[in-house]
Amino acid sequence: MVDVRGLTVAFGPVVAVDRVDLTVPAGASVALVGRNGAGKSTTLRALAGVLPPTAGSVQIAGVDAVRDPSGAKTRLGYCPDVGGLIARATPWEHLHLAAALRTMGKGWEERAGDLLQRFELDGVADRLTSSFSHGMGRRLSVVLAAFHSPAVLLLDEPFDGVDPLGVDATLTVIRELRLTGSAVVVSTHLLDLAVRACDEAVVLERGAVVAAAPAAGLAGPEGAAHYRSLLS
Amino acid sequence: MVRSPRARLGFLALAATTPLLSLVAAVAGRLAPDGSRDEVVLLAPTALIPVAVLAVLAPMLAGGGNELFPDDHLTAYPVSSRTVYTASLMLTPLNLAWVTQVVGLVGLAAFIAERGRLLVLPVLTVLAYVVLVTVAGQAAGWWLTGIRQHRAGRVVTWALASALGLGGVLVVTTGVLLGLSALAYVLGARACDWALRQPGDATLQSQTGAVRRGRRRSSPRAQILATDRSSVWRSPSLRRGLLVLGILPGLVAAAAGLDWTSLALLPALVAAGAGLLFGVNVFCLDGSGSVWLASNPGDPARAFWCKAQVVAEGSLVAMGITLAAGSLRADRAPTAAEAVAILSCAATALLLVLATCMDLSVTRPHRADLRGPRNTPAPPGAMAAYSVRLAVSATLTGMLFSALSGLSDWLWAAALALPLGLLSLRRLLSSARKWSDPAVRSRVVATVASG
Repeated sequence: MVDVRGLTVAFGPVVAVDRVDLTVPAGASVALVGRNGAGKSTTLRALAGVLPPTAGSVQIAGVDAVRDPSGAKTRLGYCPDVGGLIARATPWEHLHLAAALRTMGKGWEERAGDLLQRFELDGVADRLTSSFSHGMGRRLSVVLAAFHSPAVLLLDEPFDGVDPLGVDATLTVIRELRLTGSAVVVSTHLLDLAVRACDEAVVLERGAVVAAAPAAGLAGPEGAAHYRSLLS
Repeated sequence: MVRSPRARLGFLALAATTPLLSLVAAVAGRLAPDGSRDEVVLLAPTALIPVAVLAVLAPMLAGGGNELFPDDHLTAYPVSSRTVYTASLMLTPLNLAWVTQVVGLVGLAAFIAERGRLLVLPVLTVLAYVVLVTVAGQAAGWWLTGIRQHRAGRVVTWALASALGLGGVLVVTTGVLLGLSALAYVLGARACDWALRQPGDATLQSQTGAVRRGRRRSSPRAQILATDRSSVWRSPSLRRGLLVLGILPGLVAAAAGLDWTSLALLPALVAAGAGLLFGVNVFCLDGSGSVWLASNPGDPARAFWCKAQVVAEGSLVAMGITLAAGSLRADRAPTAAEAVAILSCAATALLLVLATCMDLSVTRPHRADLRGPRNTPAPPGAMAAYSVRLAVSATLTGMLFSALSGLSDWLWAAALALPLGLLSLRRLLSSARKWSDPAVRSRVVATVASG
């Protein structure tokens, strides 16, 4: 579902993502982990079509994201690492906009309403997002990424500043989408949650993949020690 | 002292003197033949100066103001300084020179006031001026008294007096103005401190209250436009700016009774103002949401043209209100040349401002969230540069079409509008082409979403 070959993203002389290969089959989930500045968010932005790759290929559910960016974006849902919301729009207005851009027919409101309820945002669905706390913003970003049941779900730091109920709701959404065949990529610093959400973990360091292993190997104190050894 | 009936009668008579004499002067001024009225009107402002000079000098020379009771008589009583100050003001009408000048001013106001209009307003205005200079003069007198209690203060005041005596009226005036500026700065800093400590309930309420849920739009383009328009109207600084831009120039144009040739100047200036509100960095309307938006499918050009439309709408509404208000006072319908010149100016200015704004938005984006009432779409230095750029081009455009409106043939204005409009359109399309480059778009998104 996600097939990345030799992905490179450079900003002038600075290579933020250096020939990254990544494959996430349908129904699988991969955690992207690594230090700050390792290139995790840049990788996800390139997959989401927000940043054009300098080199390499990106296939999203069989669609070449470079040749047909709009087609690829139709098949994915993306939760950015920071913000990601229009300050003077409400959650429902965000959903209306997303549904319009994705030319979704009738029936999406029910799933969207259900997700807002599960993420405890139904009470603030008509409030401007500029008044949201950081955690509320993260939760809404996950809703916006997932409400259209995308074939590929990209979540960048979805658990950051989110309370345990929000974390559970996010993990449930990931599980449900995997069951329907979606491929999920999660970038997070929280190793325990990466282990709970994903089967496999890919470690990035200085823009390059330094290790790929079952996510369970990063669980607990031994897993954390192993992770630190990979980073150093 | 006031227990004596004679004394009371005397005080009453004294208190009634100024109003009675003023009434006599007002009636006399109104009834006087107005043959030389025009000359008097020209010279009238100079009549305001003597009362101001007297009001300022007299308390200074008297050591602060008029004394109702000697200080040693009040030692045992809790008389506040505010009472002393107020009493001093109340005693001002005992000054014959002051009374004479006030009565003279009232008579003058009655004489130069337009016949057939109510006399009360001009007289009240003059009296308000007299009150102002009297109170300010007393305040200056007390300040000087306080300053002169110290040696350094006495040195400064003698130095000022010497400078004045040596013919340095301008020097003293400059010094006084600079001193007032320093005082205004201190007062302004205190006012700013007070204002910033206020809780700001209105802003918080508008951001935390529920918004009425709108209907789903029929197309992606309509939905984007609805979102962008909401982003503009829900920003306190943009909302205030649009209201001021829409209403103020129109009010000024209506009040001034501009002719059609002068009215032709306005559309370009108003359009430039609208562009400066948010058009020069239009993608900041989405803020960090632009990252999420960029991950959604659809033609990227749609986002560009929707933003351009919102900028154009703001300019058109402001121009329309200004022209409509300005045309209310016109004494005749415009000629064909005037009408075409005004419309051509509006169209040319709109395209010019649009082209400039979209070019700046694509090539020089800035991070700006426009949440607070004082937020601007770009940093102060950039805003200053953009203001100069738009103001110069808008002024030149307005002057050009204003000149053309005076010609007999309307074709000239239309003929000039066409190439100018096409040039702006070309720049606009160039900006759209830049926007179509994913690398350019990602840079704009990264900038407006940063922070």
